[in-house]
Amino acid sequence: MNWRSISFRLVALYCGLLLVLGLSFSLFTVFSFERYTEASSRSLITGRAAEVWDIIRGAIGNPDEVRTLIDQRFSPADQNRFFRVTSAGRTIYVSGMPADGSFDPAKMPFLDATPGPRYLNYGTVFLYSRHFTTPDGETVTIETGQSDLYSKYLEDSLVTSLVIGLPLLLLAAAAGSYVLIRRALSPVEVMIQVAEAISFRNPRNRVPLLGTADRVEALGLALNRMLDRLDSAYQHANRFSSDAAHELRTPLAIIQGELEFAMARGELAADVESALSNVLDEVARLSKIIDSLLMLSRMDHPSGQRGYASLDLHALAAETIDQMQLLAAEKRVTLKGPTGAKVMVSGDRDRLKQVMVNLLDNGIKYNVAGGHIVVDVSAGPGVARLTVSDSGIGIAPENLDYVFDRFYRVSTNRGEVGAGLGLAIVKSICHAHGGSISVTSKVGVGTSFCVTLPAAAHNIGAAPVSVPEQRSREIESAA
Amino acid sequence: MRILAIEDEERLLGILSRSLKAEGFSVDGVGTAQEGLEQIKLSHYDLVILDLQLPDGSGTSLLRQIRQQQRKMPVLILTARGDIESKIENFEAGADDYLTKPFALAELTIRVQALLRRGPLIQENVLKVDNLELNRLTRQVRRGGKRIELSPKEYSLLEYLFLHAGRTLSRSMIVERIWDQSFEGLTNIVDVYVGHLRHKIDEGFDTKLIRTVRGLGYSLDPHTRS
Repeated sequence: MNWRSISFRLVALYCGLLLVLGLSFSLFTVFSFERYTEASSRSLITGRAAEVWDIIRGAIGNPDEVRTLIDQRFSPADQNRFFRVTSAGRTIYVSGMPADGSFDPAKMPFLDATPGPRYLNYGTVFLYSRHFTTPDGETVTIETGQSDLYSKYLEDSLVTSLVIGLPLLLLAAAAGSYVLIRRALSPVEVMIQVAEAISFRNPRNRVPLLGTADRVEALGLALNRMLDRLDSAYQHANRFSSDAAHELRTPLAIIQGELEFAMARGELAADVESALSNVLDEVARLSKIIDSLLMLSRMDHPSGQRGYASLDLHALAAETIDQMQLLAAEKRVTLKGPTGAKVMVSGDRDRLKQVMVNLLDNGIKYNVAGGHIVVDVSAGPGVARLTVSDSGIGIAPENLDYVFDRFYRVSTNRGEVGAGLGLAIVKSICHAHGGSISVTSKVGVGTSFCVTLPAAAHNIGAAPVSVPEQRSREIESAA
Repeated sequence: MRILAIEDEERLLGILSRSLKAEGFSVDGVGTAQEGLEQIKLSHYDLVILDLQLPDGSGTSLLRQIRQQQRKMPVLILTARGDIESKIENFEAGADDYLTKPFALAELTIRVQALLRRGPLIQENVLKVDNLELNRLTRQVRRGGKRIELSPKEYSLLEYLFLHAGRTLSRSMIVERIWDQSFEGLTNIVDVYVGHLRHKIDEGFDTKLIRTVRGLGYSLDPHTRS
């Protein structure tokens, strides 16, 4: 669960609000219920006292008759009611033990004998006493009481159902509001998926608009406008480098032709010939740089993708190593090939071979005499991996992030002259294949490049696995 | 042999004409597709060298027009675009060969000769330069009668030099021929292999056969190293 997500915050806010409302409602209900039961008990026992007086006022002198009258009318024991009639300190009547045994009538305290009506809560019993006066001037005190066990039970049930019900209600509200928020945000989810899938392989794709004319649609429109601008800027840059490269080639052809023609005459002074040769070498270098630039701009462009075929990465690595063996031997570097089973990928054979050639060439160039390069090919779930590890001079951590950048060269004193496009080409080929490349390096120990490619379609599902680019780093300096 | 060069860059056209004339061809040069088409209607050409970017239309459409008129002379395309798609498109339109700028004049000459079937059409199975012998059937190499063991790559490289003995082959021509596209830009591999080959062939002989032509490439050519 993402605690900062909009969905979570909305659900939390909603549930919090509902909790406050639910708690206030429950407290109010319980409080009102208490008030109601107290008021009704009070009126009940007050009324009963007057009723008792009505039926016994003529029989005060006869306790037996009083007992009969009250027991018949109110059946106190069965109904858990309490009655006591006293006169001049003498108890004329007291009710029997209640059925629920919640109080003992014999032990009920006498309320203060002041003349007015009085109430008292005694244990589980709510008591009332009132003085009446017979025509003879005799004062009779009638006390009535009602056990509140039943109303207490009702109140407990109410509280229990609220205590259980409120969390359930909150849970249901949370789930419900989560579903609703997800539904409300679903257009955003679609936008995310589409935006994630947009790459320079399908630069014309745009975020779908639902025509809801709300803020979500406004966001989609803004995204699409941004994509248009990016696309156009990218196309522009790409066309520029492609056009520039093309335009450079014709003058280069003229320079090269004129120089060759001049040198073919063979009547030049040695120093002039040497100068012309140097220029020709530089023409060849420029021409290589132009080739690399054009290659990069083609790889970045959807039309640069050629037909892919299923091929064994393992066999391709072995073949490349075989062809580069002598180049490595020249620098006294040992090449170790991959072992293991076939690893099938779908791709452009020449381009993938170029990846290996460039990585191996890099490993050879920046190796030490007597060093080695280990090439490994392995298969993971849905992916194929190619690792080229060398025992070379390594790359300092601060430079590691830039090694795949165009025209980037770690330092000028690495002895070899290149345009700094080899690794950029490797990266763009990997990306064009839906894969990625990462590098780890330790200065003085060696560098390891890891290429990850989606496994061939028949090995996995129909859809190619998109592998996010990862640039892991291992930053340790040599001792 | 008459060659028509259609190229709008005057200087490139100039150097093309001069170098092909030096090889003994008769060369006409024009700068537009329209002129090119008229020239082809007017006279007979044995070969056309065609630039793809012309001021009045693409070389590819001119090529289609030429082929529609049932003219079957070989056409060599010159272009600044080196991508596969462009190559395929032009081969489908009827091109016979393709050269990406910048190119070595030596390569242009070799290709032109190959297209005109006038080059060193090798019939013999045993090739000889000085006292170095290469047998294409047994793939054996001898110098002064002594057998020299070569790896398959070294043999292919030497054979290629033999087939164009006396001509300079550029590193990129050698890479393209002996290795494959993936090694483009890795021309130092050629130097390494030539070094090994030279060690096996020229070591201990006064006459050196493999010559480095600085700035251009290598050739198989009897000479004495100073």
